[in-house]
Amino acid sequence: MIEVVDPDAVVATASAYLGTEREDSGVLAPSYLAAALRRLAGFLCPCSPRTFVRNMIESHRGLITDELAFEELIERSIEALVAIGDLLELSDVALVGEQVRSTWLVAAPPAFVARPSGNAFILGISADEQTPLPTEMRTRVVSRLGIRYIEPLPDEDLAATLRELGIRELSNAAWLKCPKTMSAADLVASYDAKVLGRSPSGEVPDLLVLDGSRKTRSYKRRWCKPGSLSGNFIVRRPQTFGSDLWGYANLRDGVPLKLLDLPLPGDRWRGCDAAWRVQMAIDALALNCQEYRLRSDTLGAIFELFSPIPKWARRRLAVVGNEIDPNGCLMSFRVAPGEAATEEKFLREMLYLTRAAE
Amino acid sequence: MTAELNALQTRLESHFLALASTRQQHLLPVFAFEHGLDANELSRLFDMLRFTLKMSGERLSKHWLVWIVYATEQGYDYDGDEYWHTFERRMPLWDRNWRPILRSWFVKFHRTFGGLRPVGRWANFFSIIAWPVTHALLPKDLQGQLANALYGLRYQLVSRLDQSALEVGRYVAHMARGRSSRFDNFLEQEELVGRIILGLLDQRTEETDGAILPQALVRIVADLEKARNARQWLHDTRKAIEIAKMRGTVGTGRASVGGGSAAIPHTRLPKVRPALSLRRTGPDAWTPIVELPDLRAVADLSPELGEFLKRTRCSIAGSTGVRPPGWLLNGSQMRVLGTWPRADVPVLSFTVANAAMDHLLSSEGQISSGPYWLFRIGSDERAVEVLGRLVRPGQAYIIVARDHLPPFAKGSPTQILCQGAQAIRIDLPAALTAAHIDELRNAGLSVAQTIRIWPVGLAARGWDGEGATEWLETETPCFAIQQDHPVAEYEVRLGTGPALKVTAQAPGVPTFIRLQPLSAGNYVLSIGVAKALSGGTALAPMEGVISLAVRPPTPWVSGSIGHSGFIAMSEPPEPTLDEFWEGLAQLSVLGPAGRQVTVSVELLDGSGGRLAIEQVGQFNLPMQEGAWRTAFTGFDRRERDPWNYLGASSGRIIVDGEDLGVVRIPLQRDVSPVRWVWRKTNDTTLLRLIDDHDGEAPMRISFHSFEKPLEEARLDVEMTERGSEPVAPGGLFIARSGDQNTNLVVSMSKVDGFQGLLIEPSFTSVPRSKEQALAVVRAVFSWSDARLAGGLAKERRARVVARLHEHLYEVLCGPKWANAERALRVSAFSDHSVEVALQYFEKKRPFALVLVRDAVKYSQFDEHVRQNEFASLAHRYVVAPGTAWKPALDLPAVLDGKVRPSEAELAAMIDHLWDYPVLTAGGRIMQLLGQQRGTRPATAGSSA
Repeated sequence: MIEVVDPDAVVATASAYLGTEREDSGVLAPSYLAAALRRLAGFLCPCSPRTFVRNMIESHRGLITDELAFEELIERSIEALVAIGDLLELSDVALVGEQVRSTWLVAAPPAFVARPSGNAFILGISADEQTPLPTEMRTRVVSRLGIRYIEPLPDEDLAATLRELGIRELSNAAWLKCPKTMSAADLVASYDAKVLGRSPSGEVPDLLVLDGSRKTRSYKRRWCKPGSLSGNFIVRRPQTFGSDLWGYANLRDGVPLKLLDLPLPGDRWRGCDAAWRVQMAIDALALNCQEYRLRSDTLGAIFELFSPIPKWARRRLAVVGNEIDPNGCLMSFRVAPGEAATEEKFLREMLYLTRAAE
Repeated sequence: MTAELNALQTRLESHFLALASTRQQHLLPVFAFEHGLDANELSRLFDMLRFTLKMSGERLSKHWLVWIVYATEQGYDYDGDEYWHTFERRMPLWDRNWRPILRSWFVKFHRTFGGLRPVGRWANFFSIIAWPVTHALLPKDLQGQLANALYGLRYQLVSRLDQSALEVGRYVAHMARGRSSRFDNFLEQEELVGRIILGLLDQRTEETDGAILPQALVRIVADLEKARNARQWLHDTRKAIEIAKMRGTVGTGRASVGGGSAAIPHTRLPKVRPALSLRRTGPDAWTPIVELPDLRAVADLSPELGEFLKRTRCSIAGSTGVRPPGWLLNGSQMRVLGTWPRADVPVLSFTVANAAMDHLLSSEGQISSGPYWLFRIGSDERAVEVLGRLVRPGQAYIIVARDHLPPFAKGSPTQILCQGAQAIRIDLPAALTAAHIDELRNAGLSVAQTIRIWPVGLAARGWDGEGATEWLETETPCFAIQQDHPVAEYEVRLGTGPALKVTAQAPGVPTFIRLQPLSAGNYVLSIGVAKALSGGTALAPMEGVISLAVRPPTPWVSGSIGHSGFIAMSEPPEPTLDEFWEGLAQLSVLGPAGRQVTVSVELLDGSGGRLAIEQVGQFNLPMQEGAWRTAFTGFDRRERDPWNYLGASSGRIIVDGEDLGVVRIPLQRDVSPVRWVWRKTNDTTLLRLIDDHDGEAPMRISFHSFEKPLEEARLDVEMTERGSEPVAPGGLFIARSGDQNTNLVVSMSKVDGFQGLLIEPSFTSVPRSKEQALAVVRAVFSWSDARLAGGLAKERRARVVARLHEHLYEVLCGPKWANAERALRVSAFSDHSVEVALQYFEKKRPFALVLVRDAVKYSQFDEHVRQNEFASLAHRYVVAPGTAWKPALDLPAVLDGKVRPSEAELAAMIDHLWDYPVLTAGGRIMQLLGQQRGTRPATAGSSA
């Protein structure tokens, strides 16, 4: 049967299939975007984030009014999926030919991580299903801002049940692994030494520079063309295949002299994870620390962040607390009041962040 | 109590007789599990049988049906370990010598009531317990595994539920293998498997088609649902079938969508068509990529195709290299094209021909036909091929041609990084002139200016931007329709079904339509302008067309990856547990550089439970052959308790990449009804024999020590079944029943100093004879075929086998040759020792000289070339003229296990060689020097 429907019915149909509750924000809701992207990943991966964006925009044309705003939400949602582990960003892997090694987004296989609370994060994607869990278990999956988890029933060993269902358990230790603690000065010095040890880079087309000297909280607005900048900067450039390539570049009058590709060989995290942390260290050394806001409500302490953070930091905050709707910031996490001091220390020591003045 | 037992026997006779008469009408078998007794009655039955065993003089056969029910209930509880152990523990006075009687009662049950006769390899091996286990229908330990298998196949089963039980069982048997050895044995009873599945899913029972007594089925389901996961799997499988039934799409050829027969889809074959795309890899350069679809749907078509895809390498036209077996069963795959492929031959080709695969590929496996290929450029710097060759104003395209590009005034040359192709980019303006349109039409392209249709909400798989979409049966496709000129009304139609008239929105405002979920098949959705508003000046085509290929979802399988960033491959693709253990399996893992994987081997019992897991090593990706070989050598040298290896019914290689996923490669093992197990107690280690074979031939057990490998010591059967501690340093244990042998080399780790690590076999001097030679060859077979247990077992066995080889040539060629061969070994093939060996040949020395000189060269030849060279030399130097030379070359191959002749062939070979020792020694020296010198620089002794 064919029927004529209105846009709301189209969104409702998609939401029902994706297993997300219909929200007022419709296709702009984080849970909807995450579920739609997970479905796309089932048949588009391996691909670049731009291919996700293209497909999402094309299939929502007529349902959205502001394409640019939608695009930004999609990019944010992709980043969240990579951070939590639904998508994997694989660097230096030959997927299309032995001579073409590059960075791709691939769909992570279904897995779960048991939280100390007894909850289990549900991760990964199966090509043709939202989750390979049978209906009884699937109906218990809660999706908050695209992050999926299951709460245990009384006396239930949820991890054992999920294992019996064939879902792989990722250890908390492996999933939450962080780089070693280093002072901002040591971190920047180590990258400075590495980039200066490189041979001349030659011309690097399409280079974008993350300029820490720009006085803005907007992460997006800190990206600019090299112009006449001189010094060492985090840079990004389109890659032959797959995702953008990240790097640390030595510029003179806007001309790249040396370039260090990120991630470093053998590094288990993404190029952007390394880049964001280095930028936070650069900002700290320039006495221009990136800031977070800490406020509290009846449910706990809320950390509000204005720039993206490495996925290992995001995972930790998501495990210790919960990611909640951001309000006037890029992302927010609510943690129990007793955990706030520890997490502040973590943000200070690992990411060189300072708390914004009230 | 006897009277009660008599009454029960009579009741069971009547019950099974009634059941048999119904079943015979449908040619269906009866199962002992369908006894119709409830839990209390069964409990009472057990008590009564125990009582009757206490009554001496009571004939057991009087209550043979009751015994069959008891045996079957033990089969229902059987977990794959030891059937008789449980049987006899629960019935303490049962005499093990009565076991064959039980089989005769089951045979009687088969003849009297049409009881099912177990078939298959397992049933032949386990000639008694196969009866009660098979008659238990679905033993408890297999219920979860069957539920899980059905859950994984639920969408595929929907279309097969109208098939016969045998067909359904055969399908599931082939698709669900590898969960455990017990489950694999169960699957061998294909028709039984089919009946149980149809009973569980389609409620085809006694009441409907007389297949399985409902009471028996209810009991199985109740037990199955006690395990929560099994309950969930069964529930979802039933749900999928229920939904399909509601849609009327259960079984093949019954699909009906959209109302009316006209909407019945075309038969759908799995997608094999390669998809082309271009990626911008420079400011003005594009690299072509071919994407090959996941062929799991092809593997689902037939078990043979599945096996073929799992085991065969393939190559991609236009891309270098050969891809590993199973490459296309890990999701779709992409390759860069270095050369533009031909449009008249399939892009994918396999190293081995397969008629069914070739047929599929020949119809749909090519790229689209040329001479031009159209690609629409997207915002992600990727251009997707537009199969319908439809272009739209305002869009940018790349056109690729093999030879000459069509002329375009607005075209700009662009680079395609591929041999045999050239490309042009066209950026179409928002308004096309007549000249533009002519140019496009001359290039074979259509210009769409009227209606635009696109999938909305849920993105469509395989969407090329213009006409092709792919959907799952579970999805609800929605489309948006928009026109750029005034239209009053559309006409929307699925296939040739009824048309739906839709009032159009204003130009630029989309209208949305929704289809119901479609059953698997190929559909065409057409949207035409039913009524144009006056003043409309639309250009053709006035119709928009979308093709919908609908398929069932492919459920994820636990232990697989689903993404192509991490691929683990084994060679052979499915090694046996013993091949793995002996280092004959090669593993390689592809994945992102810098990441690590941990490889372990997991040993499983008959029910799939874990006995042990041992780590082989951690590897950096990509992991290549050398790294695996090094790690496995270390693994092999580690001292391990052999109990789990010997006791394992199967195993798995586990490649764990943390968040990259985990891959499990099954390691199968044929569980012999006669098997050795290694039991470790607090103070000792016992080797024990388990005998489930219960064959007519008596069991014979012998032991051959490492020191005296040809000397047989007979062991007491009962004592061996109880268990005994092997004497250090160990040796070969052989359990022989009829023509079945079960051999185990046990190497005890208790050694006295370094010398204790080594063993030096010796052979008692006996007169040379053909019989002696045959005995030595048989001993080589026995030692080589044995499983290994204990530290240094492999090294010690290798030493024994090498010395047996020497000894055989001593028997065949005499002591002079034996001395020469020993000298070769001891002196590491010194020139002097080679000279000693040459002296053996006396007048035929020139023949041997050439063999010595060219031994390395011969070892590198193909076998038939080596044989021709040897024959030619034997002829030229008149060595054994007029006789066959081949056995002299065959013997080394036989000893190395490359060929295994029959007993008669072996006797004929020895008989022949016995008369031609020089020829025999010639074959031997060529083999020895070929092996030895092939691995080191040639010495002076190699010159003739």
